[in-house]
Amino acid sequence: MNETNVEVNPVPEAKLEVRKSTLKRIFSWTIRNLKFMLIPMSRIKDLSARQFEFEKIKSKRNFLQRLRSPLTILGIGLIFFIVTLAVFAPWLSPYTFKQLTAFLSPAYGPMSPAHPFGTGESGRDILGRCIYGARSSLTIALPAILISVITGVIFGIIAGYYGRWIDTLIMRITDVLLAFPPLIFALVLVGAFGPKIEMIIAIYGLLGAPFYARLVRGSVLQAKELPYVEAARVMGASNWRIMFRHILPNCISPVIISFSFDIGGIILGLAGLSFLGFGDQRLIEWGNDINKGRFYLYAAPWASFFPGLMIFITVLAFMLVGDGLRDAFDPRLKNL
Amino acid sequence: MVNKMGLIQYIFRRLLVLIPVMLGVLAITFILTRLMPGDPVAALLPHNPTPEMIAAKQHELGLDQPMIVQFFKYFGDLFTGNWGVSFAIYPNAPVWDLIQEVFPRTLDLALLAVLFSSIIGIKTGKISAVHRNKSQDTFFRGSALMGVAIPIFWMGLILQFVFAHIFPIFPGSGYRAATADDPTPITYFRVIDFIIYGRWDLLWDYILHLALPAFCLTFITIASITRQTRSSMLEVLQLDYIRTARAKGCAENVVIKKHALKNALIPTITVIGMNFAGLLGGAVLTEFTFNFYGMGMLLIMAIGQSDYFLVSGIIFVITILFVIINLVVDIIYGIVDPRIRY
Amino acid sequence: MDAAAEKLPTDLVENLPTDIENLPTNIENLPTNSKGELPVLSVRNLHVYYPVQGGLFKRKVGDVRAVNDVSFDLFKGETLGLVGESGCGKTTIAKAILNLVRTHSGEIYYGKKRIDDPGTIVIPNEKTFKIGRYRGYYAHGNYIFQRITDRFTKDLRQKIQIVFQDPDSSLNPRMKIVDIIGEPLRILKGIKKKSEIRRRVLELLEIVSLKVEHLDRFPHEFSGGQKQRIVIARALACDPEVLILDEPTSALDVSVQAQILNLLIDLQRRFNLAFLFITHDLSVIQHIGTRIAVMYLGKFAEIGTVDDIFHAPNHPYTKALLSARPMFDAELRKNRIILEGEIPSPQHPPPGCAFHPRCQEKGDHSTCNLEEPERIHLGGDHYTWCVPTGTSPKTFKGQEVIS
Ligand SMILES: Nc1ncnc2c1ncn2[C@@H]1O[C@H](COP(=O)(O)OP(=O)(O)OP(=O)(O)O)[C@@H](O)[C@H]1O
Ligand code: SF4
Ligand SMILES: [Mg+2]
Repeated sequence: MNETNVEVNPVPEAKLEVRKSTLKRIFSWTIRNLKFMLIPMSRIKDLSARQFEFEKIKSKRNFLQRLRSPLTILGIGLIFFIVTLAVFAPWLSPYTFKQLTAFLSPAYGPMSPAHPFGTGESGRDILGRCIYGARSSLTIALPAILISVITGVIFGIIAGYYGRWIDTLIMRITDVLLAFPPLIFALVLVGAFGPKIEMIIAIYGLLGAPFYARLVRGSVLQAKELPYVEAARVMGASNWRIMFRHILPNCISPVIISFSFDIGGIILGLAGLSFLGFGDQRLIEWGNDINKGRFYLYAAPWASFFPGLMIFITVLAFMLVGDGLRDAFDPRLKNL
Repeated sequence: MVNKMGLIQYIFRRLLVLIPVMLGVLAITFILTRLMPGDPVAALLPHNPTPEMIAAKQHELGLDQPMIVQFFKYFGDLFTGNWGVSFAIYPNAPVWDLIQEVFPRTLDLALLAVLFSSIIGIKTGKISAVHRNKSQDTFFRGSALMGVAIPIFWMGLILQFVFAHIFPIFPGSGYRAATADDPTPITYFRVIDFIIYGRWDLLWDYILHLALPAFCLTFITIASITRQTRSSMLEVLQLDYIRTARAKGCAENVVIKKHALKNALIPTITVIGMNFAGLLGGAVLTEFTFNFYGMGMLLIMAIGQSDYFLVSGIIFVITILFVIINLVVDIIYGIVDPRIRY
Repeated sequence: MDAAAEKLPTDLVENLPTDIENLPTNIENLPTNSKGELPVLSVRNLHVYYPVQGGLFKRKVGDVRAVNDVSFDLFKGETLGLVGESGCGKTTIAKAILNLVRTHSGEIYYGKKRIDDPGTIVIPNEKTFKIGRYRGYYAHGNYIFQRITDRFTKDLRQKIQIVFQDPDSSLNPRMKIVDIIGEPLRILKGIKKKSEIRRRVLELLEIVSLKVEHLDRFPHEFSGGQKQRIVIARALACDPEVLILDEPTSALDVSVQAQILNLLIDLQRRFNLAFLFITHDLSVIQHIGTRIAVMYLGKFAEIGTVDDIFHAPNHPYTKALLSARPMFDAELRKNRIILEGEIPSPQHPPPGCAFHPRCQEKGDHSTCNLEEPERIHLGGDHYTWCVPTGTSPKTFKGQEVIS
């Protein structure tokens, strides 16, 4: 068993370079892949390296494969669709933003070639408003969820890692925030600070944060007891490095899973808020349209049906992806 | 039970934790409601009041004192039942009376929804788990996902359109027919009141009015119950003693009924409880959609008009119920599952 | 810090030496080994207590006396085996040396530098100070000095390293091997260049017989033996002098165990490392050890060279451990000592000798449950902790043959 007496070989330079220019990379790729023709015996070593590459890709592919259930693909497709609508709204919409917020008449007109989904309040085109609505939903939901995740993760890690009174303090604050039903909290906050878009983003960011904080704290409590954390400390890692470099990557998967669900949840909550008339009135919002249209429900059902359908599709899309992500992440489900 | 002392300690500790939480909730409610733009003094006085009248009214409402004093007064008043008066919606009506009138109706909705959704959700969750990845499972999971994703108010409007307009089976809005002559309320619970008075026609009318909103709430609540039942059933079915039971030759049905379901239901209880707590406060959208005049409706009106004594009263009711139900659920969980300790 | 300076006696604070290297030491007459060298690591009267919480408000209700009055020295190039049942405090000693747990009392020296982080300061004729409130100071003998600094901890981490019990969980599953082994290089050695780190990591990997293509893999792609090699490579990254091995082989298959042990022996020769080898497997320590310390319930029972322990065991617990090993001779198997009862809880250790409830020889000694056993010198490096019987030294029947 004398394998330990291996000579320290001079290190092949090609393996050590980390960043290279593109030209260099192409060059080294050629060398790497064709050198078996030039250098005898280089083949074997290379093959095992490639075998490894292949395995790595395979394990990644496995993950993707698990993601590839028809429902998840449907979800991804729908998200793609909604994002396209949001990004290219001015080009896709048959009417301009100005026209869609102008006072035209007649109100609540039926479906016609000019207005495929009919018209709503003040004769505004429903189709165009449906397309622009995607924009408002995403511009509110995405920043809001980012705020939630970032603040939640930071506070959750700090609470779980430091424990003691910091933990107690942060957890009591989350308890307080979670004691309010979210929609009602949002209503009161909007009532107090006014229905401005920045306010709504901040409110939804605040609402989600305690949830993420608890989620992360729970897994940090488990992860911080693992020996690799102690090993990192022995290697001289500082608390911050341990928290964010060692523990965080091991605690992030539940966050990613609920991330997608929560985008859906926020969009739903936003729609509810504007349905109740507490949205930013300057925006074109699906919920707001339904709020206006519901008074003409029996006469002009399209005015509330299509915006609602858009909400439903968007939320469903994010939840389908969330579902798929969870299945792909959770190793237990794989074996079930 | 070995851990009886532990359980009592656990409950006691949870109650202790409740104190700072409720204090925080009250402080936030107080601050937020005071930030609302409403002006109770102007609203409660006749047009063109004299400065003396304003000062007197301010003094009467305690608004001339510093904020911190107001907070402690508000805090004390909450526990003595003096919750102030509404000033924008029903000027001078005591908040307590208003809530007393609307709360039972919201409770009716929530109870109905929780009852039906638990019965159905546990059943579908069980079927889903047993026939995992089969067609039934896919169907129930799909509809559960729909239930989470569908905007409840949109569904409500569709139901209204279909069942009140196209097929006029149910009334589309309100909680009673316009012609109904309600007797003087005794308990404020309409069902109980009508039974006491023997007014079966009104009872039937009330039930018809409850049907659509309750259906909406049931539909969205089923989703989470199904999901929870399914996943905890699956987990339990993997466990050793289920395998043992199977190996012992128990019939599959017995295995599922006796062993799996009982244990799988523990987390489901939590979900049901949290749903119930959520419904008490979260029926806002449904009530608004169906014009069903309950606590949610009152809250929206109050926020819309910045009627802040009323808002803080309602929020106090909602949060305290929310917190208490969660606590009770946790304690039940602690009793049923001896592994869980604070 | 200012608050501390106010409260601590000023004459002590004024003359604080800034250079930790020049601290006077109060460990006199350190032992030397056969080459006349001083120990690299000395532990004196180490106590480590874990608080036990309970009751309504999670107050502290007691202590687990995980390590109770332990002293030893470790010399360059030697292997001190630390043997004992599960839960007797072996890992805790390792953690105390690495400053991962707070010691209750006692001192730990690296060379002549004090490296432990005492929880309290005792100043003569003054009251006891909790050190947490006086960050920046620590007591040394009768003096107060500046407390262990970050830089000092960094130096220390380079010199004393550990291989943890379970290779699976002591590697971060989300980090590549380069990053895992490169971490001490980056933090402790301050190497910033990525290619330099890769080169050094590769050297280390080759020392433990791993290859270039392993650099960018994740831990789950390795077998248990390979993982342990990675852990060893990481521990070697900063050229340590002392390597603590916490049951480095117990999680591995028997065939792999031998490979790892040989690797370790090889490394020890090559780098002149001092090993603190924690294990509960006596045959492993016989293979690799120079001296052995036997622990029971947070205390040493016996310490001596491998020959002393295997051929002339003195302490009843050592004898029981020795006879519990698998044996092939039927005659010997008949004489096997079987310990009765459970290990007592370290929270409520038995009075007197902690081993007395299970001791097979306590009949010969009348006061085991009353007297604290004392350290008895048996000649050479051989010490035992047992209550002596009257005047005659204890006798041991038929134990020489056991090994
Ligand atoms: N963080 C902790 N808090 C409280 N008690 C602890 C803690 N860590 C260890 N202990 C207790 O201290 C005692 C010694 O533990 P230690 O881990 O040092 O044992 P060990 O000898 O390494 O055992 P093993 O062979 O199982 O690794 C045990 O009784 C253990 O229960
Ligand atoms: S002191 Fe007594 S009980 Fe303890 S080991 Fe010696 S003989 Fe046994
Ligand atoms: Mg150990």
